[in-house]
Amino acid sequence: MNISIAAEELFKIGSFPVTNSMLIAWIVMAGLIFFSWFVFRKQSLIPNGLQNIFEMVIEAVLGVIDSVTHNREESKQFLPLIATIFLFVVFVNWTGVLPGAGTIGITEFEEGRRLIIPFIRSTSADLNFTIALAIIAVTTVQVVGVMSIGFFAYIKKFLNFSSPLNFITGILELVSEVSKLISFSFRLFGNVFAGEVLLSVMLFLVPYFIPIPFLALEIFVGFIQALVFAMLTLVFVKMAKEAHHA
Amino acid sequence: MEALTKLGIDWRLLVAQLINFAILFWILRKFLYKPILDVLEKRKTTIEKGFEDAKSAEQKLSRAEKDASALVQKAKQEAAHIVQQAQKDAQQEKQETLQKAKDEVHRIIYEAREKILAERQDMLEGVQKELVSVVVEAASAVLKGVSDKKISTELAKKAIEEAGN
Repeated sequence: MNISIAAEELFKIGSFPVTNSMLIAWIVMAGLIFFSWFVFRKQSLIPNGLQNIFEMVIEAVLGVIDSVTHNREESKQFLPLIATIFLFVVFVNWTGVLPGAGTIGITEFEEGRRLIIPFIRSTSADLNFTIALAIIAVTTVQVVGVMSIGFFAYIKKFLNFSSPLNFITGILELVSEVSKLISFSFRLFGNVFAGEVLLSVMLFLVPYFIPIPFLALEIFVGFIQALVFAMLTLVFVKMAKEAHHA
Repeated sequence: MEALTKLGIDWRLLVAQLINFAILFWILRKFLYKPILDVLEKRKTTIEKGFEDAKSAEQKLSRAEKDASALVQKAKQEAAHIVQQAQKDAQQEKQETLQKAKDEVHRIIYEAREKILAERQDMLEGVQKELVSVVVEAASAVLKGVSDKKISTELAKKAIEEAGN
């Protein structure tokens, strides 16, 4: 058994290293895109089968967004970002509980030890993904803030020389924006990576039956982390949009 | 920098993940969110229209019912009026016919009486004439040769007058 914090490289395209987590990201993307296209290539007013499920999920997300914005039009604006984060993260998280995650892969020998480079590694167990997502979330928050109150008014939030107290508050605000980036990325990475480690340890110790409750737990954690990421993004965006009221 | 490498952070992978998210965002927006929001919107308007239609249909129905009942009421009144008129007309006609018949009867009776009276008059006159001649002849037969014609006629007339009295 080996535990690697970094995602492992499977092969290279040119000089670009394709890691197992990148591969999973592509597969999940392809799946989401394909099913969306497949279900909605012709939409019907009376929903059936898959369309029903998709509508149910999106309406549930829209309902959750409504509970924060209290405004259907605003919810529709936020929906693409929030729903994409949620769907992408939740499916990527769940790949970590697929059979073969962390166990089936390429065998490699390194310094005399036999290592398995697994094909399946949850994309969220790769900091590149979680940091990228956090950058998108935090950048969106800044852009929305600038758009709603104007560039200079927004900058004043961080650089305010009107009084020493305001100056220190501004610096703290700046630090909190940076810490958002770190907390976003490391929370998701930590939870999912820990889950994967936990599962492989359990499998290693007791291969049968005992890992089952942990698998169920990881499905739950995967859902919760996706929800937390999406909800926090939503709340920050909403707060940035309402900033001029404060 | 070494810490970042140990954590597996590679700017190429990071940028690739940014691009991944951007691609997913744009495509899902086109293939998933827009169609769903469209369908929800369309369904909402359809249902609203359905409600509206049902409401207006109900209103139309109640109005039509009101119209129909008013029409029936009017028709009933008209029918009653017509029947009444007809009864009145019939009554009048009957009265007139009866009157006419009565008049006719009266006229016929009167005419008959007149005729009878005239005939009786004629008859009487005829009888008188006949009687005179009969009496004259009888008298003349009785008084044959005794009196002249003038006397007998006078006598006969007298006798008849007496007889008439």
